[in-house]
Amino acid sequence: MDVRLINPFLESVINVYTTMLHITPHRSGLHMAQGGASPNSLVALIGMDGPAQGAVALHLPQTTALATVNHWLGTQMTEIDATVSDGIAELVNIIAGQAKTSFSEHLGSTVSLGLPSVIHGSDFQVKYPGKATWIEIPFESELGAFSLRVTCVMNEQPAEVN
Amino acid sequence: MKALIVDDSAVMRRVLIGALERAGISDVVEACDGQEGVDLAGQHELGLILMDWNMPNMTGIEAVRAIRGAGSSVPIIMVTTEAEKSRVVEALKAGANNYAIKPFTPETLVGKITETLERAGV
Repeated sequence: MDVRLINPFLESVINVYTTMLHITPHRSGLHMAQGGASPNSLVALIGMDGPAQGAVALHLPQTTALATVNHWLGTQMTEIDATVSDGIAELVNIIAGQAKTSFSEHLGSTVSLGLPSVIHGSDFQVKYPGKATWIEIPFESELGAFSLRVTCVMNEQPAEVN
Repeated sequence: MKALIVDDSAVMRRVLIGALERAGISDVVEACDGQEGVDLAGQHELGLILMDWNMPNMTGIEAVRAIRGAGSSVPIIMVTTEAEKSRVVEALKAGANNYAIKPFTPETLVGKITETLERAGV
């Protein structure tokens, strides 16, 4: 994966959090993702297809996920439920949507998004297929730490994403 | 005035309800996909529809075409992550009256709602 493709996602995370949540997250690194997920975390995943193919995964500790949706809605939820999962799914949808618009306009052809899926719990692993290169962008924010993981290739070469 | 929100995200529907309330609209019905949106549009006397694009069962653009095909002229604002110019043109050709791109500030969306209703003479 060309790391230059990461910039639209980085910009999108900051813009989405700033615009929708009035929070400015700060990037704390950039590295290859090694797979797996922290215990008690929540992962929202969405696929991209068309001239840019790949997937975007938003990883949050459950405490960050709760704080994020509570902040967004002005609620005081204490457990991960359908509303929290739905809110994080919508966040990854908007983040991927803004990034894919950048790709579409650059390539002159529309990139399409799938519908987001959410996994949460204390005993699961996210396995990445061997040839897919995932880049992880960790962030710090006043709502807690989180990270965005992205795999993306351009044109006819499909990303190997399961 | 009654408004219809069509979005598969319950959280986004709550956010949109907040924007509608700021615009002075508190009578709201909700649909979680395009097909339910078309069904509710046929059952209620609506003054405004906020329509997502990517949803299961029936997309927002298909729902706009179905609503217009049924003869309704209710103002429709697309509220979506689909921000490419080609998508905007496609939605307007299908019969949408205005377009709001996610992410948005509450002020931006309230402005779109007000602008759309003024244009429609409401």
